[in-house]
Amino acid sequence: METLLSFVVQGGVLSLADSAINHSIVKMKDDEDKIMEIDGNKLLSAAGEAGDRVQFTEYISKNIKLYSLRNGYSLSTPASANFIRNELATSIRSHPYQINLILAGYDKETGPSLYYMDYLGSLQKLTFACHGYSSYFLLGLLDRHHNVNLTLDEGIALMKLCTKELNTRFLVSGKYILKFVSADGIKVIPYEA
Amino acid sequence: MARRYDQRTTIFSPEGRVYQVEYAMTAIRHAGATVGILAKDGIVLAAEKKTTAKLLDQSTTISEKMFKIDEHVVCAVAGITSDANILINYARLSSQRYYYQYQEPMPVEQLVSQICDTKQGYTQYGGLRPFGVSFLYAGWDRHYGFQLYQSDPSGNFAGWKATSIGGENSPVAQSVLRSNYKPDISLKEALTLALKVLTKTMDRSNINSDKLEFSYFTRIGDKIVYHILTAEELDSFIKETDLEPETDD
Amino acid sequence: MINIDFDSLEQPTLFDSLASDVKYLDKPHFDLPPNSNPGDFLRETFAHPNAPKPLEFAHGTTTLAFVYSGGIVVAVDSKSTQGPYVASRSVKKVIEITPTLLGTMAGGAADCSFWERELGRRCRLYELRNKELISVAAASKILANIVYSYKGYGLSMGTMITGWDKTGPQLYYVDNDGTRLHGQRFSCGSGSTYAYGVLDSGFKWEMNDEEAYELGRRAVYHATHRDSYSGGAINVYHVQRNGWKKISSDDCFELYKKYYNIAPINKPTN
Repeated sequence: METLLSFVVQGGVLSLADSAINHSIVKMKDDEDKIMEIDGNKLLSAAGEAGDRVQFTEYISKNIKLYSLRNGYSLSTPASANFIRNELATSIRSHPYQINLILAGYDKETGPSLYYMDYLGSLQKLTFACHGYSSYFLLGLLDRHHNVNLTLDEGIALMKLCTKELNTRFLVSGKYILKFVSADGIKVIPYEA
Repeated sequence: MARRYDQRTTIFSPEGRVYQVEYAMTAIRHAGATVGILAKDGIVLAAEKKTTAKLLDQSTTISEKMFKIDEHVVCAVAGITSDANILINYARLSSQRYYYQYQEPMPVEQLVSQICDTKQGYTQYGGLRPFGVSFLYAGWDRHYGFQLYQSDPSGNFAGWKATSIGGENSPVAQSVLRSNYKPDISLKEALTLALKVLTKTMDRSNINSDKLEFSYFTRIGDKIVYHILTAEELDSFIKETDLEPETDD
Repeated sequence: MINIDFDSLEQPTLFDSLASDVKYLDKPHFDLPPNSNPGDFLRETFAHPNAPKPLEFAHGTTTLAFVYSGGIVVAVDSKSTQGPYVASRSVKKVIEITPTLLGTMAGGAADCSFWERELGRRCRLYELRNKELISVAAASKILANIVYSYKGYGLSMGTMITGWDKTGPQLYYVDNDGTRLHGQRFSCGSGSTYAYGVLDSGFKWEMNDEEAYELGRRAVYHATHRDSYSGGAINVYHVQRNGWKKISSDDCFELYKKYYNIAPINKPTN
């Protein structure tokens, strides 16, 4: 019942994730940050099997950090996406990480970009992406309202529209965390659904 | 004296030398000289061919000392070519592996450093002979643009603006490069300089396409292009530049 | 002359305990489980179609821990069950990992006590190697990494790791699927939902220590009341700046009498 949602706007990408940790019927936590910040220019949102999320995203972020330490420059967003996909694809036959991911990033040369990944190892470059049951409610809404020329404010308004729809029609509701990655780095945007 | 310390690759002599590595470097001096020059719009690699037997069929190989590693990296060899082939094979594999993992071309320095790690390994782990090759690597990547690197059998490498490997007269080559290199040298000037260096280190009488190999990297639009000069191109290039050194002297 | 009673200063000696044993030597005596044949009993119990998997002790449990202005209170029940069988009413579900770290036990008792003891060993080694106490964050991460490496192999643990380090009082929840959460209030076990109800509604940041102990005790008490797999005694610990302290151990039935002060319902009232 987790929600991940990201879309490209002018000059950056907005990433939203729910902040709840649920165990069977118990809400263990409602302020968990599921959007990992990498290298100051990438946002890796992850959701799925308990334990796997933290272990996998830490493994990825430490490896990307290692790359920048070894080489003096950091891995681009598309290269990171392919690296992550590769890790998922190689682990699925032996020790699957059951998590779905969205990678959002901003690179000097190529601008904002967004990659959708699932636990099976598929990778798609998109302008908006959504994981979880929420996608049944949001994909149509985004097909209708999203375009890449939205300003940041319009983007935040669209996020509000999305979470409002979830609160109206989706069985579960809760708190969310919103982040924005652009040429100026990563910003956490205070968000009230 | 030295006998006791030159049998194994992994042992220092009392003076703090690893003889096997030094012997490998000596082996390289017997090879023909190879020159690399980094220009503002490209890189030149030029080499002296030593195996010019009359009956040798050269139509089957495009190049004797220049090897394409990937679309964006080439290297020139000085030393034992069969040793070099092993490393070149490995370099090509590394480059493709990187592309497989990141779907992006491998940055040049990473490629160089990886091959040098392999070379270094043979100076430390016992029972094996070090690779008797030095390389010049020319390449382009989005981080540092055009780059020129040199590596030796010890596994050392460094980036250069202009340098040479191999050849009995390498001090001559180095000094010609030092006195003629300008920071904003163009590709054309670099080709001429490379020829000048080789004419100084080789026997002057037979400077022609049988004895030389020239190639360059340059940028056309947003594409990086690598070109090996054909015999005709090379001969006409030598012809039109030949007079210059005469007047200079 | 003033009579001073020095008896309380006397430590029990080996002879004392021998003497108490000797008392029973006149008649044959041997502690046994309350069954004619424990082996047969367990086999029969676990052969039942509704029986839980064998060797799953302490599955029914209520444990809780919360952070407040005075530190952290840890409160647990002490009942151990194997399906319908109550194996023990006096289990120590608060595990004293080091003199500054506490862990709680829910799920498999053996898994919890074994791995939290192993955690204690590693924390002590850390302390010897680094000449400073391990942080709660690091300690809980060690445990989380261990259980994650055994993921899918059947470990059963739900535990709170607490302590007071350089960064103040810290509370982490770690369980067998590798989850590790930092938080202010956690409860674990079959009675946790009942405990949460009392804990969340009664929680304030500013409390004096007695209020906090009572909140923890109450929360577990009400859980034992509704959850038949929780019960026995309620143990309360307090994590303070210089280490933990055991506060109390109260039998649930005594608490029942204290809180309700009513006669048992099956007692005829004339």
